[in-house]
Amino acid sequence: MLLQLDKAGIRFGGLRAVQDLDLAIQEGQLVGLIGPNGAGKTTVFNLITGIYAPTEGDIKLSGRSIVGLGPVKVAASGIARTFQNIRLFGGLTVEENVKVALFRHQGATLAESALRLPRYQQEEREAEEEVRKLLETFGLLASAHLGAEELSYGLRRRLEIARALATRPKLLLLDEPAAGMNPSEADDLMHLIRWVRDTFGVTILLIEHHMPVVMGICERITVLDHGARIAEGTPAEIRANPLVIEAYLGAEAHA
Amino acid sequence: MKGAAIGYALFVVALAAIWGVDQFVIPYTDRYLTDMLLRVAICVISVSGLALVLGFTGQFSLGHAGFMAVGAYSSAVMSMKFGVPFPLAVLLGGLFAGVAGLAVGVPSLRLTGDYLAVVTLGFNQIIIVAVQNSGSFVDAVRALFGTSGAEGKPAELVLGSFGEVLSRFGDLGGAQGLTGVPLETNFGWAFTWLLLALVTLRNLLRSPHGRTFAAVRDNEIATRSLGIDTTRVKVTAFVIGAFWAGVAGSLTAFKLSSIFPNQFESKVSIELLAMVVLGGSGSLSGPVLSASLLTLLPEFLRGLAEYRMMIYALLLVVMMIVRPKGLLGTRELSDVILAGYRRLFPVRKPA
Amino acid sequence: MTLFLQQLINGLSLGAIYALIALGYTMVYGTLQLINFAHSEVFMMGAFAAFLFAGAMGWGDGAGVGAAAAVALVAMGSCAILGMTIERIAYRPMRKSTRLNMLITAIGVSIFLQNLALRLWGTNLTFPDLIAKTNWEIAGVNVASNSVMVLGVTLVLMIGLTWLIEKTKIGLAMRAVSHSRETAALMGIPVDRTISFTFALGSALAGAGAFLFLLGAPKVDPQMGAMPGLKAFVAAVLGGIGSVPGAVVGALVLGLCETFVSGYVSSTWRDAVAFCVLIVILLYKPSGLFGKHIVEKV
Repeated sequence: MLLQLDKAGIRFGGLRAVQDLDLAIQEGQLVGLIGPNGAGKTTVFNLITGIYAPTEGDIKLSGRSIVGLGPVKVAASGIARTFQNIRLFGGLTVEENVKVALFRHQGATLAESALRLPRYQQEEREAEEEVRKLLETFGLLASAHLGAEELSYGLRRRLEIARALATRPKLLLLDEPAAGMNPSEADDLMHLIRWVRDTFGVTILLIEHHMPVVMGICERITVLDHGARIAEGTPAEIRANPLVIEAYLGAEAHA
Repeated sequence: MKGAAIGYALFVVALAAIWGVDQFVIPYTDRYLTDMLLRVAICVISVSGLALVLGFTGQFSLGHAGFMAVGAYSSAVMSMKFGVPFPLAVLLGGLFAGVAGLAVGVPSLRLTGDYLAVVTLGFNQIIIVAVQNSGSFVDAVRALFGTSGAEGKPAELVLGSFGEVLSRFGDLGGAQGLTGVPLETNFGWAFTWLLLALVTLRNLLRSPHGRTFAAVRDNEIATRSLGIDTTRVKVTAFVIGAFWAGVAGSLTAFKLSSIFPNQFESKVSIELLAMVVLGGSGSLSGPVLSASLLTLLPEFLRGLAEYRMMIYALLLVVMMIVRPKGLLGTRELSDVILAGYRRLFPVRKPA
Repeated sequence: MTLFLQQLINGLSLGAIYALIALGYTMVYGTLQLINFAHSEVFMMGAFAAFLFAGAMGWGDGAGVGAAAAVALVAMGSCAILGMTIERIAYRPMRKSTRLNMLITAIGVSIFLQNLALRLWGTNLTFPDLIAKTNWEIAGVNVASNSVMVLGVTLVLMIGLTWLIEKTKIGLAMRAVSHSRETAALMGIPVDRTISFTFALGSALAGAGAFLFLLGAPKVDPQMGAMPGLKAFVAAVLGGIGSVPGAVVGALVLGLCETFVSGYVSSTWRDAVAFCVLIVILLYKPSGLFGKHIVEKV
């Protein structure tokens, strides 16, 4: 069991944004998290990544509780994420954006960097190599020296995913990666995500509204509504679940 | 490997050139011109440090002059009261300022932009007030610890010598200024420190650490999601900036021979800030350029000397509205020159 | 005991003046999320306006309450106009810019005004004693007429302000805009005009503060706004920046702290009090006494 949420919940003042949530993800799985707008999906991501601390329940990564660690330590334990509004480093190039992700794995000190000592030089060479390979596999090599903000929307999304992968995570959280994409772009993304999981062996939890993407690649899906889990199962099971249909379309649609 | 070797070689050559000029050219140079060059060098050192903090890490530090004061006073005391030789005194001045930067930065850098600006301004003022009241501090220390005498119980001796050290440290002349600092700053040392500052800062900015500074500036939340402790990054930049401010302050003390607390007021901090902003936050050569120009400008505009601050202020406001990225924005002078060169001499593709 | 009560009254009247200035900071921050660095210079200009007007009208020592009232109103009016002008020329074009840039612009305006005053009028001018000062003995405590005036005028202005914010349409508009500019605009509230009004109001209060300040410290100088301005800002932060009652409470607390430290400890550390208070609040409770902590959406 890689990630486990055990009756996790959070309240903001009087509002219970997430309540009583059970979630279990095995290593290597590709899991989807869906639900109508405002259901609390991004809040769940924020809980997992430590941006919010749950007011109830527990969150465990590989059996160890990660509650209260804060976003930096949680990320350091192997959870990477992308954001709903793409968060790239505008002042850096495409290549540099990915290089930042390697920082944690680099050991050269300030002095070594300032004086260009051998350890710094070696690490820079290795980083350069690793980043090139990653950019190449994501089709971003040609844009390596462009400013991150100069890329098209689709490429920026890919860059954010490439950057997240550069941290060598065990678990990758993707927050609406297909947002704003047309059907063909979404289709490409779908294949990319599955390919990422297959090639890098990373476990993926995905928030998405694009149903074809979700149904197409997710092995299991959890459905949230008003902060609570209303269904969990395979895509086929979810598609047929009346509660899910009702949550999305409203009670009248079902009648 | 080869790139680094060339870098080292160039550094040695530059160093030799600096001292060559110091020994063979400066003695024949107009005093006034030399003085101007020193002022530019010192200003650029200070501004570069601030450019790292403000431009590259995006931290709104409004108390940079306070760290210059720490450097100036501590190096002066080290030299005059503890007999430390000049080059070492300057280094110590920088280190003391760095420690001050740590003390100020650790609690403050959790705060967002506006608040950080005000806190750093506050610290700047506190440092000034502390220096101005150093006389009463010394009296208090003397009363509390006594001063070392040859006799007395061991405990008294220890406390006494501690008190002696503290009071030596604390005797900063107050508002009347600290006088009698040896005149040691010359072209050679000023430009050596300048070379060191620019080289190490430039190297740092193009290193993994440098990228984390920019990352924190551009998107702190994303940076944290990569497992990077952003507070630590901010404090690091802050301390380095403070160090260089301290070095600049030390060089100032040994140039002017007398230093006064009001030379390091928030007004100066704001001037330094203006230089960074006008030069281009996100660039190192931009602020270097603007600092040089703005230090030299009053010389050429003698008549407008009284309007200097007003012109600064207007420039600031106009720049912010019209060209918020400053003179060079995020580009370096080398990029600008290269771009201009390419425009003049476009590379023609083979037929 | 009498010393204590004496200090209490001094502290409160100092706090009252800080409150008048602090309100300008807090209202502008609530609306634009901008620390209006230039506000301390608006205060200073108010003092100059008072001085110049009194001089132009030929009013000197003992000119009377009528003259004083006229001077106060002129100060308030000039400040209001200056505040609105600054907003229109320097801040409005920056609305879409980053907060850092707006802050820098504010600093630029502040320096500009300081130096402008220096060029135009010089330093170290003295404001006439328009109203003869007397001391009264109440319950064995020496009460200066000055303090009474300061507290009285401030109280009246506070009541007026509260009424304006709570009971009038423009007050509602101000509150709406400080909650959410976009929503207010969608509701048909004239946002630009409301912001202008906010600046005018905050600046006018600073003008009143300048007049009252001059009653006790009749020196007029281009640098005179810096310290009171910074301290008033600290007061606003202490109370929770963006909160109107917070600004008042914070200012009174700060005035009292400063007076007691000055009286019982040492007057050389007087100025440091404000900064120490600032640092302590920002480290432990940045949202201040009445403020809310705004969380960035992830």
